[in-house]
Amino acid sequence: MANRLETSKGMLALVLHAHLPFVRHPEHERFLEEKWLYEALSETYLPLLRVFRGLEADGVPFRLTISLSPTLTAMFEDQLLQERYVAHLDRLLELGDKELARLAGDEAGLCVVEMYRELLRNNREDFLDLYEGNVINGFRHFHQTGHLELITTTATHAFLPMYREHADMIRNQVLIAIENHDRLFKAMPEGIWLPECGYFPGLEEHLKPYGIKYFFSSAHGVLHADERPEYGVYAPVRTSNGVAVFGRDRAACNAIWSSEDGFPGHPDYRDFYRDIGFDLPEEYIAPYAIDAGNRVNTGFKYHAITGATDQKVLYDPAKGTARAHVDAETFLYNRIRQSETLSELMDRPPVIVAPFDAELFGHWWFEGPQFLDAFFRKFHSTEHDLVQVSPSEYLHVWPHVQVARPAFSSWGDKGYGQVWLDGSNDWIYRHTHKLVERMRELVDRFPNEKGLKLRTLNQAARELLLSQASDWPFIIKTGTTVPYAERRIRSHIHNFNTIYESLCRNTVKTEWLTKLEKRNNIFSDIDYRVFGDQSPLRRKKKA
Amino acid sequence: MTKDRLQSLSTDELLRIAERNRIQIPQGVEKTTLEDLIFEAFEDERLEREGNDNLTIRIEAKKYSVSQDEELFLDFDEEIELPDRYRENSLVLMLRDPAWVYCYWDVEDRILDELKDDSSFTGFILRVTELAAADWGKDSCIDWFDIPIQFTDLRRYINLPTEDTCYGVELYAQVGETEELIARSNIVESSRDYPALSLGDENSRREKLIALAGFSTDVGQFPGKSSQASPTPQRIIGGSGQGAS
Repeated sequence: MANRLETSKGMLALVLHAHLPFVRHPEHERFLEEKWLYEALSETYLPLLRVFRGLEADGVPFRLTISLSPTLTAMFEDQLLQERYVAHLDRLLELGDKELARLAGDEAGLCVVEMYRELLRNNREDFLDLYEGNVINGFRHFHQTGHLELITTTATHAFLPMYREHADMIRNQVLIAIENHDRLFKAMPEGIWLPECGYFPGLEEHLKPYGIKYFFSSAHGVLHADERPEYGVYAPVRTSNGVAVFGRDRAACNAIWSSEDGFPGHPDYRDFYRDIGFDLPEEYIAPYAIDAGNRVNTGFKYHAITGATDQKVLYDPAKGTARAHVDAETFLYNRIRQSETLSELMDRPPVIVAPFDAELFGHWWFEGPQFLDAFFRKFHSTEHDLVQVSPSEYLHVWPHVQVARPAFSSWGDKGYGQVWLDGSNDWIYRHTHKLVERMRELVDRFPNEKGLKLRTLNQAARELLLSQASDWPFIIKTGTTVPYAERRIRSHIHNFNTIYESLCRNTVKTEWLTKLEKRNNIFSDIDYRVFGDQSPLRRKKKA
Repeated sequence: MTKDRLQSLSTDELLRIAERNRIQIPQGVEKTTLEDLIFEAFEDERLEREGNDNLTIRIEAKKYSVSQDEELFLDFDEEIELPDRYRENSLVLMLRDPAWVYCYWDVEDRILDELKDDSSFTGFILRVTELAAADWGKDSCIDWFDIPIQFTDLRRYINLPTEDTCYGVELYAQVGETEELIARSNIVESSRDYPALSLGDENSRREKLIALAGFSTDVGQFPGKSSQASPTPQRIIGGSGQGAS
């Protein structure tokens, strides 16, 4: 393999970042935002794993890097959410049966309904029988077979440039994520996905001590480094402490990201927006699409993108599949041409790094998993000099890369911190920064607690981490479910402050704490002492 | 947002939603007009937001989208109140982009009370100082300017005049002829938003590779930072040099 990497004309590193914030509400029978997970399971994670299984069965080689966030894996492992997901599938299967009856005689409509019923049945079967309710089992398998390089991201997906003055907090976000990864996959991650590609100079100092060898950056993070990068973004650079940085290639990413110019905007593909949850009368659809007074999507979407019109044509799954094959071929062709052009300018094979949100494939772009399937198959069956690679494989073959200090950057709008620090969400940081200070103070005051106080301090640590999720300021800025995002961040800050004040007064309410532990139960083995300067874990890592 | 959703709400709920979202509603409008006004305001805001976001953010937002209706905050009595401030002297600076920092601060109640009672107290200022290095050493100051702030202000965005340098901010109370330092911020290093200068021995291959990555190799071509003319975060004040050390 190493020889193939050295002699190739170019390398392609496809990277999928899989993440959702921790959303789990046992206090409600059903909860709207838990559907984020169910939809992603149904449309992205399970279909992707099916694609991988098909490739493996057919002996088609493929290489992907996937980052799985600790909040997502915590939800994958959670028994309550697993049970609720099955109930969600059962409701939709029931809706599928009703739709068969409603559309009797409409051959084209029935074809689409059948497609969804098959998707739901496959998901249910894979989820329960193959993965025993936990899709981590699927990812672990492909990690072990060498098809996937699994990496992690920070514990609760904090946008790290907002915490750059709190080095210990950043270290804990990294350390807790790495330990979670180690527990799940019995291996330390070689790389890390910095949430939102958020980087600031010096961040690597908090990565290297935990064995992280590389991370990804926006293109301008590398291109605006203190030294002009010799190979643009087509080779990594190394920070002064040796951690490598792979810059994102715009051309490869835009081909897939863009809803206007990119593949997912083609009229043959399924439309994301039209859903029978909104199209059908309330008395019919209510059991499946009314949640706390809100109409919600069911996932039964019958229309193709068609074009800029409300008069959408019916979706034809066969056309969608055919289009995915054409686009996969185009994508491959363009990467081959791109690497040929680049290799003429370089004395080593260029590496094209194309990172995406995993949920783009399937959830937003319904045919995304089929596109990936077709891409890997065409990659295997076509003659060319391109190879698929993971960043750690690249570094193994090309360990000597230019040293440079990347620039502050993110992949957000305008390229810096504008999405996560804005007039709408800047109020958050006064509180979350204060929580970091207070947590430090609590560890100093209560360095070695047991029993109820230990539980209380550990819960404080969970609330602190959950308050730092980048998802809440993102949602507040982009405006999807703003009241929920505000409520979440306020509740974590409030819970932490209640704990802080209770400990100061020595009056912890057991019943309240137990309820909170049951609800926000992420990182069950957390040790609050990791937030102190003398944390045993930190000393262990240093040793 | 769908009109169906708004139609399902009472007039009272609609009025409270309008108030919470700062939507101007004329007195005594009918419910249907009220629904239309809120619907239009939500649509305008959605289009503006989507227009402002890049591809990555637009796609990323879709994973939080399970409904065509924006979630409405209807539990008006259940809002969790957080403290406005923590009543300690502090001043924190956060780099937002190469041209802007966000600054928030706080002052102890005791000091605020003393100043309120002091007839020679004329106000607070933020002193923004460009520093030669990331420390507050005596010889570090390159340039500075002041921004007057209101007694009740607690946060502000500040435009940074120079890229690729260090900045710190100090909060002063102006009392008679003297300035009393209340708090001093952390130091931030402002960023550059263009490639580093080329090395003289022009490496055309390197320039071509940067161009192939979709970037201009010229200084100042990447449109990442917020310009002063663009819509700005609330309460941004553009700084202008008022003095030098």
